[in-house]
Amino acid sequence: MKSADSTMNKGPGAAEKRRQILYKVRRFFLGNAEKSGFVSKLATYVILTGLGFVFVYPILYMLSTSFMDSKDLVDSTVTWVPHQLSLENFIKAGKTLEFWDGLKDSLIMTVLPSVFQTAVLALSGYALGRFPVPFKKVWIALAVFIFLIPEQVTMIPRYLLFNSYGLVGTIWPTYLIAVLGQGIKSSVFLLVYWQFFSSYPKSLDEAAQIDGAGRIRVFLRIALPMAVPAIVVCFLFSFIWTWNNTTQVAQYSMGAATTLPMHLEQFVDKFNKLYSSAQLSTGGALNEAIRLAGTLLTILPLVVLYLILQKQFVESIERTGITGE
Amino acid sequence: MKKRRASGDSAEGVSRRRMSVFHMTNKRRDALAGLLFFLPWLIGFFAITAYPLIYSIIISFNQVVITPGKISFEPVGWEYFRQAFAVDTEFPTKLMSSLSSVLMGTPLTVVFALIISLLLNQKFRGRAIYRLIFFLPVIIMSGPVMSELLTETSAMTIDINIFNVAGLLQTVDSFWAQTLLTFLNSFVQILWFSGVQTIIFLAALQKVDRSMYEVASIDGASVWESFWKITLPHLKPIILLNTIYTIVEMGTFASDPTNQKIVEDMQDIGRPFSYSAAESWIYAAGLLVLMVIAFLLLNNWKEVRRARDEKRRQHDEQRARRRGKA
Repeated sequence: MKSADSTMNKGPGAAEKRRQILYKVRRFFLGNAEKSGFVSKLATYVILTGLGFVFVYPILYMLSTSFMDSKDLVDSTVTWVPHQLSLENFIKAGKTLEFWDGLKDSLIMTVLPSVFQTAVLALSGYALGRFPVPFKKVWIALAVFIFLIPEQVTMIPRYLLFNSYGLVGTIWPTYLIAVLGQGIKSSVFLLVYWQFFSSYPKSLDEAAQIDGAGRIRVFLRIALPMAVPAIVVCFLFSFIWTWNNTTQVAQYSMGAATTLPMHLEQFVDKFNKLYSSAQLSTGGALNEAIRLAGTLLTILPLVVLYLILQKQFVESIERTGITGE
Repeated sequence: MKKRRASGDSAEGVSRRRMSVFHMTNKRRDALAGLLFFLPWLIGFFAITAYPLIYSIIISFNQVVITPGKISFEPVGWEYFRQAFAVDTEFPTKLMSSLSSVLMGTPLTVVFALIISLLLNQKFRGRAIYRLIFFLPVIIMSGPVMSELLTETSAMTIDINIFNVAGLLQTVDSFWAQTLLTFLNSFVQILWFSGVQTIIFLAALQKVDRSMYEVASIDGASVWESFWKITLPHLKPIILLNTIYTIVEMGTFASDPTNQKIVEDMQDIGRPFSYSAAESWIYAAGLLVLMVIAFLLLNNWKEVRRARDEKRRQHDEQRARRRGKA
């Protein structure tokens, strides 16, 4: 305090300079309206890294273990970094998973169904968000209620239903469920779309209608571009949940399609069948590393998809140039 | 009929209506358009979803008797519901532990998801990487990957041990240490459950108009104030949605004790399917209660009241106009 007083006494110029430096330091650490400061940035990094570590840990563990050969696995000096990067585990796992066949089946059972699910529920959510649909509250309550019932409760009756339609053993039940918006966790999508579509200004719709646009045109040209973040998110979720939904495919498509996650579920049996006991004695037995390599191969396409789409859902709004109310 | 008369009452309107059979008011045309957009879901609901739901209600009140080539029902009334509480020794405790863990976990999960999404929504270097990291739980939590991880590394709990916090706490072995340990344990679990909600929040945050923040900051609002006055009101419906999602996701997750019990009991001898159906309806009712609480707390009642007042005002106006004409 004393020193502050003494500098103050040196004249207005010095005080001004001091204040400026103080302001600059303050801005650097605490930031101002335009730019967040060092402290808040550091806090962001620390919190996100700390929490993110929880999610990265298993992936790192899988990555490092899947590159280890059988010697590294039992070597207690090796915890994270293997002596050499061996791709052998991935090759073995790929063979066990029948990777390319599995990938093809997975894509057949996932790409179109998730596109259908995303699109059909966007339509339904748009209806709920923008139109006075009769008994709207009833449908929303029902959607929530369906979501609430554990899947296994309705699994058997649904199977009987599709059986009576003669569709069991084909890939069509999965498609039918998707096209009619009843796929896995559909209610979530319905609610997300409902929220997104109901929260942008009605005046945009009305302006377009006055300009002579029909309802479908308004939907395609105005509503959809506004909801791109929601659409991308729903598509990502839909893709991932459909991809991992082994029970549905296993139940309805018995044999017609075997997806990668289904191969993964039977990994141990398949591995033992594929690699005879002769190899097992020479250190080629199924180990953790191979299984984790198989797991990584199964989720790899999902990570790739996310990397492709992630820019879309973050930057779409900036591109369309229209924002909410 | 009544509505039609109300919509147009001049002589001209009547004659025009008579000419076109499909005369519709704007409101009705909107309702029809909405219905058309909504039709796929409606068909799907009645064709695919309704039947299994009703079926599972029916079998919870019936004994399923499987004889070769035929399945028949014998009505038993509320018997299985009674058994779940009065005879079964495990079900009530499991039910209570499931419901209480959902009740405790849900608010924490949603708040965490909100905080993480707010942090991720900032502009900072490397945010693409962080966004990938926080998307990972969405990929990992669903499907066989999780079970693979659980058998190999127990991903959900291992993180505490890595800092050796757990080891340290176990040696202390006091009440507080134990409490802290359980807290840390459930904290990691909550993090795993918050993946989807974080992404939904993040998508919703993209929609908040940036110029609103600018205006607020020009008017002298701090970041803290604009969070409470701009961001939070915008996110309110999404918070409710995420809360509902969290309740269901936590409640129906494969590792949930009640859920496991339901699956276990599906092949129960003497009461196949029926008993587990009854159990799941009880469980669903419990989760529904939690949801209703969430709805009552988080629904935008101000908006509801405003809409109701608006409707009443319009109604009054219409009536006044009609009376004036008559």
